[in-house]
Amino acid sequence: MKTVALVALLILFLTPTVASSENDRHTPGFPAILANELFDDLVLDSRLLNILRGVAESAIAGKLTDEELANAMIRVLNSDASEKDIVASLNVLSKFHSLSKVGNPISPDTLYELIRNTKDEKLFNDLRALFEKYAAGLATSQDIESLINKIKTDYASAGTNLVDLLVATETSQLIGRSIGYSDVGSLVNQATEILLRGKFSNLELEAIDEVTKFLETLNPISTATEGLDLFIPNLGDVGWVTPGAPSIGLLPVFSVGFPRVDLSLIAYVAIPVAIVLLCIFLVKVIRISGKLSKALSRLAYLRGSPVPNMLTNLAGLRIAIRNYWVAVKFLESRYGIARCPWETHWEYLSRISIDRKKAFEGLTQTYELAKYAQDESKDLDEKSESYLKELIGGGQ
Amino acid sequence: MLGNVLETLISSGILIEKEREVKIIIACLLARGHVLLEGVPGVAKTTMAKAISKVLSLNFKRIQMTPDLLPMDIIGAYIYDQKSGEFVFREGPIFTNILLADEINRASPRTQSALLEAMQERQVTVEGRTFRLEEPFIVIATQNPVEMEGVFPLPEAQLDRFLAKIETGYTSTNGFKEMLKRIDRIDESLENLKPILSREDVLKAVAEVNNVKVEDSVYDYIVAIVEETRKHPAVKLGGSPRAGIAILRLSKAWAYIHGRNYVIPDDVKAVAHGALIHRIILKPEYEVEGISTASVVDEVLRKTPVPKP
Repeated sequence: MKTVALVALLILFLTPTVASSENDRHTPGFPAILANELFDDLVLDSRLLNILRGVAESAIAGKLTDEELANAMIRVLNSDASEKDIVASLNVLSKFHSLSKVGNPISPDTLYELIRNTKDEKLFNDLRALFEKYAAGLATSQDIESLINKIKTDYASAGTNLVDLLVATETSQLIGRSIGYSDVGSLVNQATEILLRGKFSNLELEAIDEVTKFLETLNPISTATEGLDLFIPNLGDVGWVTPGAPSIGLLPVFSVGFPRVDLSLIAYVAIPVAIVLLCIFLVKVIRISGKLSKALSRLAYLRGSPVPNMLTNLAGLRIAIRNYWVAVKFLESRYGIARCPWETHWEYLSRISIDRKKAFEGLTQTYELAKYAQDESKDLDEKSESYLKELIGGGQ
Repeated sequence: MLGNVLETLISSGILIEKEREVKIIIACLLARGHVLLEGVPGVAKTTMAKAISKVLSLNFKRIQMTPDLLPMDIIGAYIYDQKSGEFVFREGPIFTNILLADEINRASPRTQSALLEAMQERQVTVEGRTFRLEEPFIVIATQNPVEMEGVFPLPEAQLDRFLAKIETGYTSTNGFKEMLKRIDRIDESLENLKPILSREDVLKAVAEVNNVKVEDSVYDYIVAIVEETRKHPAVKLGGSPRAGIAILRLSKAWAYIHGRNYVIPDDVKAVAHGALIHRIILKPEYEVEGISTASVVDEVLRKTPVPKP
């Protein structure tokens, strides 16, 4: 139901002109919105519309992840649409967090891609600091809370670019969700509300609020029951139903440009729901097996086995190159020394101060020769293997 | 061998805290480019050029640019020889290996462009006759960033002809103190500097720099850096394709100086400043806020991811 509600929100938000042209055919419960001229002025760039539609489809299929949401945000930010459209799209995307699957930590690369275009240097540095902590596995709920508070107070009052602020709140939300901070959603919602109320035209906000209020009145269980028992036999049309609404034929909310939803299909809802649940179960199983494979991979490295080649996503790379990145991952997870995307291999090495630094130095040297000097000698791979064993296994 | 050159220059005590500047100048020499040195008077610009020419066994000449300097004062001219009764060509100071053009922005635009053209072509044409300049050839032009009156600032197109620009400043307090202690011996040390490489060795090194390997992802990295300069909000005009070429050539020379025959991202980062700061034009509103091209390049380097894996 939540999915349906969000899709309705999205489509209503994106097709104001269509909706307003059908004032006389609105769904009961929507009068204040659809009869309102508010929607006449809402227009969104078609490229952004496609991005949002893609996210909505993933949400319906129950496979939406934070990674996908973040990627959608990056595509929105990289588009050359107007700032107003970008802000509106980011705002709509932020509503999808509640439908995104939890327990899927976002990758540092994606996160960095999201923040790298932040124009405000001070805010960028704050985000980078949080990012580095996250990449090192050291981010805490306090870090996120303090950044959100800073955004609400310091940055909002300093007149920082609205897109930057939304990127910052979304970054906080993504990191918060990744580290299992359950209150991050409400904190970010409050912050977003303050930012948008203060700085952004209230037109879209009003529309979203209206639709959200309406959607909150829908009771998923009673809607389904009443929809199936009472309305479908007499309906002969398509649309959504509202509990307590007069038993009249409900009319489509979206008509032009979007596929109509046949209510009679609700009779077959049970099967897709079962399939979706099965998929969720399978995803969970895959996730658990992923963790298991990582554990096996590490064990295998400790024993000097070639198995990791198949188990990690570094498979296919030359041994000296692969071993370097395995070592970087090891240092990141064991010592919390994350390698930043803009850091070169020597810059990263200069930050390392562990007992077995010499082994990592050797790995850095062999990586450089294999990658940049394109030295193809076998000796290099053998050296790299021994350095990796020394680093991870302690020199056995 | 170039490592020895650097070590000698640094350990001789003639140049204090000028390691980076010396490296960039040598990189420009190896990459067959020219360098623009911007700094206040008295920061060892001439000494640096003299010392480099001495250890590399190269000829060195210096021109003090003034508003009344004519192109022929730099390039040379035909003069009448009474003995032979013919006009003979008398070479100007440009016929050398290392030319220090002091305060280039004091010369008139006509003289500046004659010099810059010769730098680009590596040859001069007088009365229809072309004379090739001897290789290696590098112009180290200097300019004072403070003086604004009585100068003819180089236009952007002319600045682009310099492979690198170095902003050199005062030494640190300790460096300054060290310099004062050695001041009486600096001239003597300069005289005593022995050539380490011959002219032929330098020419061989120039040829070898061309063979330095560049892995595909390093090209991507250079492209990303240059493109990122164009996206920066404070930038009116970002790096041109020539800026990318300058980074590449300097990176190769930088790698060679450090004894490698392949380029790594560290080389690119090390030379990016020199190759970009004079090729970026900032928006006036950011300039008045005190943002410099150097800080923009810093930010670009902080934002551009290095090649992975």
